[in-house]
Amino acid sequence: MQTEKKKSPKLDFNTGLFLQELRKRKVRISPIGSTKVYKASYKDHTELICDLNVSTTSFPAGWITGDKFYTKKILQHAGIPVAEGKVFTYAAKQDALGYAKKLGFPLVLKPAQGTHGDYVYVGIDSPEELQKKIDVLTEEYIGNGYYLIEKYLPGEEYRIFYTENDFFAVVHRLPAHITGDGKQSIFALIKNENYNRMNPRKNCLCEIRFDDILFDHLEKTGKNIDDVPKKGEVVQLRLSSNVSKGGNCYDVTGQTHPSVKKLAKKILSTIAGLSYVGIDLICKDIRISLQKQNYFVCELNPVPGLSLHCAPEKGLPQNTPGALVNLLFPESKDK
Amino acid sequence: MKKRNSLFAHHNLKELLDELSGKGVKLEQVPDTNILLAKKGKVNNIIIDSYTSLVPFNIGLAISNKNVCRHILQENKLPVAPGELFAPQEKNKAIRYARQLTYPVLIRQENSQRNEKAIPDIDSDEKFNTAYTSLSQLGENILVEKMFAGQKMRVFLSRSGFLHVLKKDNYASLSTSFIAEEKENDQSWRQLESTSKNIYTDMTDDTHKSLLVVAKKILEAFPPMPYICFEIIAKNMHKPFLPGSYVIAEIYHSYALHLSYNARKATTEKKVSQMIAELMFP
Repeated sequence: MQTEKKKSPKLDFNTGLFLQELRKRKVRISPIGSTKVYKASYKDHTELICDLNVSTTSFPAGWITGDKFYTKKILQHAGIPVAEGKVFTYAAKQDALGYAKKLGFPLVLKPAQGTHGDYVYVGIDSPEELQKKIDVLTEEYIGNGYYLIEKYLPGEEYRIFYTENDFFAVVHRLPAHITGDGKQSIFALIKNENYNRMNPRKNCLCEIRFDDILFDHLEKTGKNIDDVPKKGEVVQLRLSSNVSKGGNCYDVTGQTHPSVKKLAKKILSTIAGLSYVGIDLICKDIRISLQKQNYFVCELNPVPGLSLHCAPEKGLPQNTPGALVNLLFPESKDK
Repeated sequence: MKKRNSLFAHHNLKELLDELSGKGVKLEQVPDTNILLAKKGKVNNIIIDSYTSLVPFNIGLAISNKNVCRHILQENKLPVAPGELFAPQEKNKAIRYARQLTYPVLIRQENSQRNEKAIPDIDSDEKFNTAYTSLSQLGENILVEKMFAGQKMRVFLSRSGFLHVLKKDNYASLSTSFIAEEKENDQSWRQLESTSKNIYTDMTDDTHKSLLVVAKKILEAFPPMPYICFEIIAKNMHKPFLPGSYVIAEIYHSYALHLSYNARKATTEKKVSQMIAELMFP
């Protein structure tokens, strides 16, 4: 019987970094058929690698951290600050709109399960805008059929990478922005910035996306894509800081207050079975004790991106692929 | 989800929660969720839906993907029914493949744990068209597989060698005289009859011993799972499990604990739920 030979699927950039580190440690890697799963063997120890999903994290722990509603509830239960908010099914739009009015604007709308900031709308400031965004989300994104509405709390965004063997790294993420030169339009400045980021690609930065969120933000801030900003004028292009959407990323591990690591430890111990995690923290200044400022955990990520930390735009690279290999194949350390 | 002792839990976990409570494990529900926190001394576990902390994240994801699972089994030279994966819009390609396989075939979603997303016994182009159109509306890739004729069994094996086997019979396939005899001899039969289209019989002691060898090979294909649950279809469960005489139909992340408790002729002294509780809290 004739069947087509299927090609192996394209490797995710972060998975590629992980596999590269495994090979450095003399771990043998082989793909399983045409799937995204790899068999990794070191002496008589074998593991299956599915993207960055590894066996040291349990399924319940991975599921909970990948679901923004479950994350919120389990952290709240442990007394860890989270944004005020509620979850709704796709069919409960009227309930969601009613809740939003009580909570008060501005708000954040996001799918309960999702990554890279897809369909996350930050700073929604009217019922009309919320209704429109709910319609877009529910029509275009399948997910698990749930979304969250949360109070929007401004602050600086940080991503913490922490493992159960005490590896700690922090980056400061800033929303995508460009700086005017008095000559070029916002559109041209974005195109130039994207070209410089990719040719050649030197770090984790991704292209700034031309999407509905960018255009909506420009409109809200009284700007247009064809405007020519003054020399030195910084034009922010969205409120969320996801690097995958063009956000900037600086390593600040060395400047982070010890209370942040303490929080990361608490989160890991709260979710039994979680061996490593990406924590999205919002606070005013990561150099100051969390006890002396308002802060909250925005969300968790069971498979946080490695490249933010090992290839930041600025600051000291942190060996996150190495940290992950140490979790999975501790016997291969220092090889 | 059924309410039980004020805890909301998957119906398949009732026996496990009883075992855990018996071992002195403290169970606490995270409010507004089906997350159960299980603690005893310094040991913490989380249970959500029918998943316990014993299932590694990567393995749980691999098991949920039927295509990935097939590839892992094939990589380990374990027999699966012939099959291919198709995109939802590839109905014509899929139907040509089904004809090549020859009917009957089974189709199911790439990512699924429950049989209601699988459509078996497709024996014509017309039925295939209807079934594929229906499944493709869910938006996921679809697996088309040849159906293997034989006896269906659900198997549990732990790394320590604890084996449990249930034979699955569709109620409609049993003879009326057999049913009448069973009703007379077994009070629990009436309950089974009214609640289930499938009848499960404990066959742990009656299956050929070579099943243990097969089960061990399957367990080794999914490191570092502490146990494996799977469905196997064999031409004759009392004869050696040799290539060509069986296929592995499905891998599960959890065993149907309620089935093992309610199975006909349950003879194993130690229950699967006991084994799982011991693995969670040694």
